[in-house]
Amino acid sequence: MRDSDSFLKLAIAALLMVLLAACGGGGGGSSSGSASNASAPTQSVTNTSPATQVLAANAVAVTVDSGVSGVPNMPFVSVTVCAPGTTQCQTINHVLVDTGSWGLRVFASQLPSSVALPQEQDASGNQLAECMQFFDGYTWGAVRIADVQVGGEKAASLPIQVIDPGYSAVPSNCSSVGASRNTPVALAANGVLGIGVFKHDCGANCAQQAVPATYYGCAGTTCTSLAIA
Amino acid sequence: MLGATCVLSLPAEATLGQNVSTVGNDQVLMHATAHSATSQAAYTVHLLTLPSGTVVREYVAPGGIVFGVAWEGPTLPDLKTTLGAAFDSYVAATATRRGTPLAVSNSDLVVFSGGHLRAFAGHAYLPQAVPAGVDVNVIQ
Repeated sequence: MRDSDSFLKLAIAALLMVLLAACGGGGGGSSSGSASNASAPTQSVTNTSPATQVLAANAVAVTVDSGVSGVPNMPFVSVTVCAPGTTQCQTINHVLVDTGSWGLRVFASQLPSSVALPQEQDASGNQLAECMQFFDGYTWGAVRIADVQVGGEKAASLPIQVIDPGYSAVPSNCSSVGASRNTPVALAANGVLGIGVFKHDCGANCAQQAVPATYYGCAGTTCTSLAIA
Repeated sequence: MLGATCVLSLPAEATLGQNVSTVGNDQVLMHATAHSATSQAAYTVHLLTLPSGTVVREYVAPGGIVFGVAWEGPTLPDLKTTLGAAFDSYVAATATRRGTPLAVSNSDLVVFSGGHLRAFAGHAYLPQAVPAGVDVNVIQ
């Protein structure tokens, strides 16, 4: 999501003081699962349970493990998503920390109906959706507003992507960029927390003109590419 | 087998493995703002510039077959159009996420896709269609 200064401050503050809560046994793609702490590392890594570790409010524990699909050595955090201004929240674990993307992406399938998130609109009233491009595929879904808590701090009313292959209809120019990552198994994570630092996530041209497979305005099952400044 | 004969009847899309005439279709489908061609001794490179700023290079053998494509820029190109028949193989090969940019590498197809939004780069080629004497490392 772009233009979310408060989100960036939250994410950066939370991650500046990252603590490695667990260092997964690397490589090989073995299904070691929860046994990743079994071998004692020789480095001075603190293997302490997050439950007993006292973290500053602006810090969050990062867990490195093989995630939800057995891909080794992925850094994850837990993120809490709330309906704006309410205490209706859902905490989602295994959200991938990604320095190469921007903002939070979670799955509609993992949000209970009580966590109702209003859809973001542009100045013209278009209901916004996003096709997020990764080097190995895309995520698709509506841009919605949520209060987001990472570690001990919460930021209000952030635009996030709610990944949902059933939202409207996936535009053909979106699915033409690669493989679908629209389920936790396909993404190998329960979401993505992008901590990239640029104001415009898809580049300056994208803010000035509609670029295929980025942002859309949707009505019914018709989505049209939009420029989002 | 590489499809040169079906270009006239099915010109809608497809580049990699297709005739050079399909480059023009890619230009239309991806709304390219510029198209130029540079000839080397053993191949010709067509360069398409897309509205996002991404550039796509299509490498054409003397016989007219597009044997390689490459892209670089802030957003991905329409890979279904660019890769043509190879797109489905690419998607199938990456259905399970492995976190590596070398998506496909076999005797018939190589696809490398890396980077992230604002800075993607990738290339693909058909090893069997690369002209003799051409180093595949030029495809980038």
